Amino acid sequence: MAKRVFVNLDYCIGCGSCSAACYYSHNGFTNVHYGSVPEATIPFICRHCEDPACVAACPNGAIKKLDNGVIKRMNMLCVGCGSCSLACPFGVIDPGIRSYTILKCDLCIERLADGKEPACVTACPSGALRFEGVSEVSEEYILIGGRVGGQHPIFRRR
Amino acid sequence: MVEKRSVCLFCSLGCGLGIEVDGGGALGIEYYPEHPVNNGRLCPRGHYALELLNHPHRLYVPQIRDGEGLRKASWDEALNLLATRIDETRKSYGPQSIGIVLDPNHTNEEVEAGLRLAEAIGTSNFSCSFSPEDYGLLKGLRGLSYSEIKAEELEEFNCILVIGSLFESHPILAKRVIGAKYKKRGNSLIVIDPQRTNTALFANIHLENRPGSEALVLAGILKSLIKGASEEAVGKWGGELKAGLENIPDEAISQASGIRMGQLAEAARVFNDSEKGVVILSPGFGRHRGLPELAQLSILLANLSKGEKGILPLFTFGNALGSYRAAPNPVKTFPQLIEDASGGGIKLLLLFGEDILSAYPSEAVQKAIGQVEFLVSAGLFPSEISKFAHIVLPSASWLEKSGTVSSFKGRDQVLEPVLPPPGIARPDLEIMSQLATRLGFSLEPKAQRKAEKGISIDIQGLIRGVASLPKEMTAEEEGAKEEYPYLLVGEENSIHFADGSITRNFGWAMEVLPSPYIEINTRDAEKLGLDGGGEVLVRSRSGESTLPVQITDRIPQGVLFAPSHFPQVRCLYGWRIDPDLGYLESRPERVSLMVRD
Repeated sequence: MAKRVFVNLDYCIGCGSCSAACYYSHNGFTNVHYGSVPEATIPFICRHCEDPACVAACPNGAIKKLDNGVIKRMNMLCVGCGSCSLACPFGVIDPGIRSYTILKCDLCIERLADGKEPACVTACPSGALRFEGVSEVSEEYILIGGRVGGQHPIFRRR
Repeated sequence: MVEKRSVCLFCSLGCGLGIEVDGGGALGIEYYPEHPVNNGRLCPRGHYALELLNHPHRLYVPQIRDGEGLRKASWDEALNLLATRIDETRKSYGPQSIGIVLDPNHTNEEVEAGLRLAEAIGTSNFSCSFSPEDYGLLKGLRGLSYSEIKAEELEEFNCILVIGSLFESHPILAKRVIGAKYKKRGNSLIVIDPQRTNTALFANIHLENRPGSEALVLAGILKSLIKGASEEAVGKWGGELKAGLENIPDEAISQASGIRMGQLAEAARVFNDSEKGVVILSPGFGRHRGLPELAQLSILLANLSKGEKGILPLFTFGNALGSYRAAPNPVKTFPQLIEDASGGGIKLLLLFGEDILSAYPSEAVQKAIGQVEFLVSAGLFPSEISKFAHIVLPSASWLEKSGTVSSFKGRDQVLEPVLPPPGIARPDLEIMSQLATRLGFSLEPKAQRKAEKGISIDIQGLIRGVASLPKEMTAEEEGAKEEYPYLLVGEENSIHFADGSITRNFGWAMEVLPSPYIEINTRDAEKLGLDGGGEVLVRSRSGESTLPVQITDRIPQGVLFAPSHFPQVRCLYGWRIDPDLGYLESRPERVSLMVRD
């Protein structure tokens, strides 16, 4: 099963380390954004969807789903129209993609090739970010993540 | 490509990090999973190592003031000029007119070398510019580290009592603290903090105290802890302490701290009943009051409760503990030295590291800088102080020099240069020894420094200190209620370091938090007619500044929070020396607000 970066909102402390890790491993552009909801600060990361809207939206075929499941933006094909940014249902593709230099999250392909985890996951001080297979992680998320009972997860920390 | 390893000094945890180095340049951050403190995890500040090494604005060549501007010079020229000036100043004003200040992010060797340089010159004006919260804590602990608790073992604890906003100032401990809480049913996390921080969101018991009353809260917990304890359980401190605490009435504690005694008793019970417990002290600038008392009360709390207990003090500066140990009893502390300088007693001042003008933006420092005839500043980046300096020297960062640093628990870690410093910059140790050679001394290393052993707490003094807190707080409140109705508390974050003069040069930090703000409670904002933001003029007894408003429910009414990493916020705290401590006061500040149209 392909591995993905998961955010356990229950553990997130809003330090912004994931964003900094991305910034300093992607030439000063961060693909992990973090925003605030009234109770906490939470990171937004590309989920590398099974059926990605950004791939369908791209007029030039510049975003491709690779064999290992990574949704990768091909630099040379991108015309900078920003369609992917609009299409993304999670709002994780920065509109700054027009600068021709920013990448969408590439799951740190080079680090993966070396057998390491993506930078944001390795850096995360609280263990909120995990790099795991989709099926491995879900059960634990139900147990700790507190999505039981319909309560918002971050209220279940206490 | 080679991976080199080093230590981060952007807080006292001493996390290990790796840097990918290729042909004289740093390419990327590599993590260091074997390091016991952080297991490879890094907070945003850890990632700045890359920027420290690569930054285009780093000072790389000595500069000498030439009329209005600075001109580049060689080391020989700069150091010869400095040596001549030191000799001249010594002849005409005496050796006491020379001052040396180091910031606590220097290696132990450098602090010792600075001390020896001062001795050789014949001056007693040598000090480390600890930040007030670090100094208060170190003073209370007397430079001891109580090192039984290791950061890597935190997960095995059943009860963690946190004072301050731990996850904001030291995010690396988050995983272990959260892990400890979730490890076993019944494990608990107690947080004493006025703000509903991300740390407090995890707490089982969150004691939302009035800002500045942490020592009282702890005294209340201790009081209800020893109330029921037997004579032999309270041990050698027991009787005296018990009698002392009895003299502080419950009402005074609950009134000044804003927490009912029942809640404190519950916290005491939880802490006492747990098998293994730890008190984590994580103070911040302008956040806490009575820090020496706070430190000693936590030692007592750890010693007097049942089971295996300990304390874990954390500091802002990377080598605060090491610097304090290297120069434990300075003849003059940093504020006293600055006072001397503003009185005209110091004619030549050597500053290594911190930009004191942006860290303590106050009239006293400005006056001191104005009074000094010859100012030398050695640092990493061009700063406020280098605009006034007669000689600006380029220093190597801790990633570019060798030496040892002591982390919060007194663990000495060895630094090895990852890369050579930029241009012809040099480590401060080398600058000092070259200067000493030119002055005709040599800075031979002395015998190993001896660590103090055993703890002795002056209970009477401690009780006096604690008992005076409610009075102090009410007096301050009464005196300023009309004029300054709000209480401004320094907020911690993981983005900037200390006064922010270094981190304000860094890309990500400036993208995320380029300028300060002030947080205000929703109801207070309504009262002031601030809907959805705007700007306010914040005024305190020491200064004023205009800050944009953020409205939040995370803080109590009548309290304001602002990040303490900006001079615009620090100037509100001013320069007030605590006569008992002999150092700058650490306290929340009373301010008034005026809405700007």
